Amino acid sequence: MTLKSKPDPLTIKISDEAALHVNQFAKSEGKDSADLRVGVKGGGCSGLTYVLEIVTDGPKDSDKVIEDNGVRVFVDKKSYVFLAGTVLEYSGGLNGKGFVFNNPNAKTSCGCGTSFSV
Amino acid sequence: MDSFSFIDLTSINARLKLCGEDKVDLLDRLSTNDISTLKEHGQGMSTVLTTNKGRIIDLIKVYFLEDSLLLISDIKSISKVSEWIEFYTIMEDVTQINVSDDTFQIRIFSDDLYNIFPEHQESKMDDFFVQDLCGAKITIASNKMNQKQCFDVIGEKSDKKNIIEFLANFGTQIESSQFENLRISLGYPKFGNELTEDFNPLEALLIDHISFNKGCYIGQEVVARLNTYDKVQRQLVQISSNHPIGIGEIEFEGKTVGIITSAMQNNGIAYVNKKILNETTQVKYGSLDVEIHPI
Repeated sequence: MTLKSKPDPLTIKISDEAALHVNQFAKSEGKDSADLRVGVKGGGCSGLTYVLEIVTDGPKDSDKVIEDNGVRVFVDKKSYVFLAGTVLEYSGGLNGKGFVFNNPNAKTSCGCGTSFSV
Repeated sequence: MDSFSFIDLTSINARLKLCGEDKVDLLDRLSTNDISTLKEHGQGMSTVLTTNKGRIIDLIKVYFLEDSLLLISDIKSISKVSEWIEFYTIMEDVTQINVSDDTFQIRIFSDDLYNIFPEHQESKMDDFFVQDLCGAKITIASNKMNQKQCFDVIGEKSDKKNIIEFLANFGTQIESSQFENLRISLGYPKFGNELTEDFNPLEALLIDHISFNKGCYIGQEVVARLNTYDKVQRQLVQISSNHPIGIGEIEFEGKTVGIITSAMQNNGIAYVNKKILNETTQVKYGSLDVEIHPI
């Protein structure tokens, strides 16, 4: 279990456990490290849905690049408006949800937690 | 051609094109019907844009064109529809072009529609085909206003005059007031009256435009729960009276049991509490007796 850290309103943070799992995933794919693409797309029960991908092709020109806990995070500027201050955490165990966005901008979220509204 | 009637909907409805690789995927995530099943030119579908509370933004018609999706909404809802789609276009490759001023839309009603457009006999509801008429390339789509079948003819605005003149040789053009009368007599919902954020698509009897197995869309959780647990409180009905009625509350035994949302002369459309439908078909609008007719 990971303690929720206080969100920083100006950036996106990666918790220790989330960083560990990102790196474990990279190693399982035979890579030394991995970059993350996070974003938001329209849809999902509450209106906006999180997007999370491991990427290997580097950032796009228009991306904001954030590095935290040894993980590089790429986010497009429009998504960043909805994600600023988010801490990406990892909920493990049998009942865990995997990667979890702790987003201070989310006013409500749907039952499964994958979509939110602002 | 047999005799028919038609209405010029050019300035009653609005037409918006969605372009870009993600247009189908985005609209699928924003509305109730399974837009992802639209795969090729000629296919169409009705769907409802809903809020995250499962309330209605508008019922829209979607046509899959070669280079875009053509969306048709009420002229009064187009700004809202466009802004809604724009707000949720974040990572997606989607752009909008409002083609309302460049296009026309005419709706044709006939008791024998397939005699007018026999090409459409084999096609599915909402699908369309393109044909030449009076030297113009027009899109003809099958449509339905509840039980009343109709055809929508869509084309370039510059061809509208010729098309209307041609149709007028065989049929009768009706005015917007006659169309409104027809709409009310069919119990067909309209943006701003029945289709507002006060109501959900199940109350508005739009269940045929909802997919319950397509996955998430905005408002899906609420709509699915209302349907699964039979929690829909109100239902759209037609009403009639022996005297002219207007928009307002309707009562039964002194209690408000519904609201009239459209009215013309002695007929109207209303939302009523579903429970009341098991008890009576007679309610009151002020001092007037009003009869309820299920749609």
